Amino acid sequence: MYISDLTLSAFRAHDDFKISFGERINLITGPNGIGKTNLLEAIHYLCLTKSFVSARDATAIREGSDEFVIRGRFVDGGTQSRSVSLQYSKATGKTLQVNKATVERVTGHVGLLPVVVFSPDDYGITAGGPEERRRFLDNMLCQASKTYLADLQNFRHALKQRNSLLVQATSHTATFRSQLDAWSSEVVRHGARVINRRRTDISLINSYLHDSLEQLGLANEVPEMRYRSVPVGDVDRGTSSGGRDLSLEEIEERYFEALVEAGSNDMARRRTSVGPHRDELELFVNGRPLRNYASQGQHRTFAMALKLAKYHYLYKLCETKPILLLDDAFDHLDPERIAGYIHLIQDKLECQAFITTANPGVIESIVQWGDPNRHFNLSVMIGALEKE
Amino acid sequence: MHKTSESVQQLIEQFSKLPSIGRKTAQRLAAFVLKMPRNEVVEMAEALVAVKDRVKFCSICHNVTDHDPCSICSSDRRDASLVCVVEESSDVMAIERTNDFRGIYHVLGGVISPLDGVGPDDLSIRSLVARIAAPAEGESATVREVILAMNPDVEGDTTAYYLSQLLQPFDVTVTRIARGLPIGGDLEFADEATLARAIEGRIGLQ
Ligand SMILES: Nc1ncnc2c1ncn2[C@@H]1O[C@H](COP(=O)(O)OP(=O)(O)O)[C@@H](O)[C@H]1O
Ligand SMILES: [Mg+2]
Ligand SMILES: [Zn+2]
Repeated sequence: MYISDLTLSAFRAHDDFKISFGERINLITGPNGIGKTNLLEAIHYLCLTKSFVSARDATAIREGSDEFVIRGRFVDGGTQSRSVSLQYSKATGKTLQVNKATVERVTGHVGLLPVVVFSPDDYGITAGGPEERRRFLDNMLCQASKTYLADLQNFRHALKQRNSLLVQATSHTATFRSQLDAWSSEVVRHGARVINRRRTDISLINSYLHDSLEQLGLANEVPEMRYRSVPVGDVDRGTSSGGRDLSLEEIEERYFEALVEAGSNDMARRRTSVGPHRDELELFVNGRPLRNYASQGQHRTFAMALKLAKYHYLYKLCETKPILLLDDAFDHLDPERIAGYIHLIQDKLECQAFITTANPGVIESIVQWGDPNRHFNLSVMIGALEKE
Repeated sequence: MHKTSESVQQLIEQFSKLPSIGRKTAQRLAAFVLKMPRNEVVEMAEALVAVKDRVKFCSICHNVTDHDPCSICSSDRRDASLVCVVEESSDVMAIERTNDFRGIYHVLGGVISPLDGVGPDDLSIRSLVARIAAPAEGESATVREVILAMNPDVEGDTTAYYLSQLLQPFDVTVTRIARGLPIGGDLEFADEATLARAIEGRIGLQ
């Protein structure tokens, strides 16, 4: 699957902008602040109906406008094409249209156009806190599974309600306790499904992580992501090698018990302290926790490997090649490494990729320009538009 | 930019207060009202006031009614041992349209939702328990089964759980309506989560 055309109106730096892409590598160059990342953000909007830059859609509306519109044409297998348009206006919110028909439930669209972003911020996935790793995992599971997406949304909503009840409580009456129980049960119903899916998919992700390191020429490094969820503890096979497989019902029971156990603590802190929103994913390399010993360079390599694993995972589960958005992702790497990544994308993955950089030297010299690869110099394009 | 009248602006404001009516729709409705004949507008305005002045709530089931108790609670053709608990009066209308349900109702007036500041005391839950503990005057049979027919969403399910726990001490069967695919609907148009759950919960045919 690839995007062939993109049209932007009043989106960030772009007032009125049209561009046609190549099926494989698209290199987007130009000085900082010209609007390279904006283009990748727009593609991401069409794929997942949200930005990877900012959580607030309103910030993407061009200054002085009331709404932005992004239109794109996606082609699958060379024949089937799908036109996707996303409009966001301050007054009426988001409207997604696929082939001119309005899509009521945006969740139905997620996963049809899988996408993987690579950026220097990926460093945080391996070096940062657990929240970044949960976000990484959730993003891939949501693209791969609509039930996971629904379960996660319901879980978060139930959790918000439970926390709201904890905040409002003035005294811990019997009515309050029964209400808390009811919310615990709802949190568990959805949360147990979230835990269950996370733990079963970790092993698949691990095998792709292994392959990815091999593809990056690091076959000696044996990676392992370990999933830890307090409600399931150490008995579970998903979290410990000696464990057994817990059924969904067992996870539900254990999670409910854990909530009961944490009850007085939760009431005192006015927050729910156990559940998938506190899960930990730890990255081990050759049996050692990466977080404690890896150098900056190693962190970058492993973050890259995780994103590659995400690509393979989504390709497998969505059954279509994800689009790669590489936003200044190569800027801290030496030329040899960059060449390695480009060859991997060109010759092994054979997917559509968008690469932004302010220093295109190395990439320019490796790739053969002309279809299916295209090279865009934004300052020239935008300059040309202004002259008209 | 053209100036509009103060009264049109006010009408738009009023329409915007209605659920699922955005600014644009409100403007369209106001424009439509402007073109309506005067007598029709008066009829509509009177109907709005009448629901507040004339409509009462049934003292047994809390459904909207012109007479108390309502025609369902006072009918001797309904099975008073079977009580269907719903969120709103509109749900009673929906179930009545099926023509299949022979029991009576209990309208909660909403669902438990801390985010909206709604707790059990803001809903007609005490009167439900009272109905089950002891039949009200005019209600003949004791309640045998309570059907929880709240919406299958986070708040509806939580309210159902809360009620099921609350009713546990009583000698009454508590059931929850089944969830599934719309009959006669196209699989193609079912939402993905419903469809996935339906496949998970598949049943054998032999
Ligand atoms: N809402 C907006 N309205 C107008 N311009 C914007 C808006 N948001 C961002 N920009 C502009 O977009 C440019 C940043 O574009 P970006 O794609 O990040 O550049 P780069 O080419 O460095 O990746 C900046 O010049 C910024 O001022
Ligand atoms: Mg940038
Ligand atoms: Zn009644």
